[in-house]
Amino acid sequence: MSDDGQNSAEKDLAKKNIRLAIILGLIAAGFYIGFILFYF
Amino acid sequence: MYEAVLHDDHHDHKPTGIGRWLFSTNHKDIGTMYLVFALIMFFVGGAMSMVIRAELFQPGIQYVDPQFYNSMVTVHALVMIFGALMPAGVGLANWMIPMMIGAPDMALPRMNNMSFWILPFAFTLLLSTFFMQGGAPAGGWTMYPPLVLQLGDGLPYLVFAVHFLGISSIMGAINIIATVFNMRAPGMTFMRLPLFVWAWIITAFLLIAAMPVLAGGVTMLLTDKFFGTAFFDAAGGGDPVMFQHIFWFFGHPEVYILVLPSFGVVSQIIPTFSRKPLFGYTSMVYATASIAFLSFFVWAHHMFTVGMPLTGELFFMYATMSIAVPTGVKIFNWMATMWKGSMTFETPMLFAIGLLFMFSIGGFSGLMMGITPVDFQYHDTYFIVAHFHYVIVPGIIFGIIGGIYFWLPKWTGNMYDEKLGKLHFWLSAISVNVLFFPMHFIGLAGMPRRIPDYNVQFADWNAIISLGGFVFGLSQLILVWVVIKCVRGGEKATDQVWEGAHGLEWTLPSPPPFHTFTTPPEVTDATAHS
Repeated sequence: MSDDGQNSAEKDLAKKNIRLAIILGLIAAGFYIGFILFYF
Repeated sequence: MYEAVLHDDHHDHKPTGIGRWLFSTNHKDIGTMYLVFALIMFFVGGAMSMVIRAELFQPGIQYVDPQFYNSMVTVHALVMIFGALMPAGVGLANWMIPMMIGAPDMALPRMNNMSFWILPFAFTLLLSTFFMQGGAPAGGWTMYPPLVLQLGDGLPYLVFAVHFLGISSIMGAINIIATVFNMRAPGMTFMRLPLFVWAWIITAFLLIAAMPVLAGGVTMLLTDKFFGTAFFDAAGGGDPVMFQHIFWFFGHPEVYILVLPSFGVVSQIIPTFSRKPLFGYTSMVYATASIAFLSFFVWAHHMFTVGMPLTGELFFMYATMSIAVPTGVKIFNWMATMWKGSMTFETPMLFAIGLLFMFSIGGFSGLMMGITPVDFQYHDTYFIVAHFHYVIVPGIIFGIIGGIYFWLPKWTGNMYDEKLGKLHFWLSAISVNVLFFPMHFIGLAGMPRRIPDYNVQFADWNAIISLGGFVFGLSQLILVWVVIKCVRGGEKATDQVWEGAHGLEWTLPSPPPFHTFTTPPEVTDATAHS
């Protein structure tokens, strides 16, 4: 899907999707790093 | 929930050439790539199992040396789990979830492309170890130290391959969660979602929770080998048994990561061919969530014999048995759906019913080995091999194959060859039992797993098992032929395809256009799956 010509509702939806992806990604990365630090 | 915001019905054209696949952000194309990749890996892993069964056809060393045999056992498992089963599930999810929830695509299409293309890269790393000093991984897919640390140049490649596979899975999981949470059509509430979608949301959360643990464990293996740490080295104050705990804290949820999507497929197929709504929709959702939750509290049943306090053994024994309750709810609900239904037995339904029977055999043997004192007899024998193959092959793989037959007419616009489909099912169902059922007998009689040679007392059953294996392996070529034939043409499929099919995906043309639901549909009780 192209970024050009997106209306504001599409941009809001894209922001929502990216925000959720970042949160979930940070949770996964946190598990990984926290887990190693826990045993260190 | 996603509102009417999309715009691109005016450019419903397909990109062409190799660029269509390399740079694809279309969920259908990426779903197809996942499924084709999984099929290729299924045959790569299957070829390794043929080597294993050829070697075990009779006692003595026949064709391969023991080290290579161990590599075959190890890489067969890694390829099948990470290369065939998981990508197949993600492929089905990519194709079906947006169409089932009325979304135009996955929430993060570029990440979708990236999570697929990491896979061939990761498997190139893994399979390249066959050509390295020290050979391919041979210490079992569980990668237990200190054995795995004896691997030659292949170890860092194995560790990085696992990392990349984990990253790919986590990105796929994030995408599925974002898609279902943010992209549902108006009116598609959570309790109207098809069970396949529910199964995938729960699986996606399992992936996010479990995969980082595996990645953490194998990173510690890497630092133990190359950076002087001693996480799992007793001489340096570490504990090799700790790795087993870490691995199985990932490994048991992984079983459900593999099986829940197949359960989701079955929950779509059985109501369709019973021509009845699914019995106990809400209890199915809660049962699936309960299985996923409980899967984090049972890991040590894989390692009862390693030595642990009696309280620990009791806890893990009872926790393991408790999983039988939600699983039983699901089996009961599928049977209750069929009860007094107007059933027909097309190929997808045959695979679904086959799963029901044979997954239950694997489930019951699982209950047996969940009993701690009894597990001391079964541990590391062919009984275990029988158990998990019953769960994986007629359980998970039958679900995936059933899903392929179920949705193939929707994907291609053509009906598949029903006679060949039924032949595929019956050959698979008979040979899979010849292949795996006798493993219970030789396991109980004491044949250990992961060995290239064995006592002559096991010779007869091993010959029969190998024959079953060869027939099962060859039978899968029928699937390839059916798919090719269906893609090339055949009787035209209607939009609904199956008389009893309900849900948004069946309102689309067969095959669906490149872009679907560019204007979101309005979902009501009548159009929702249930």
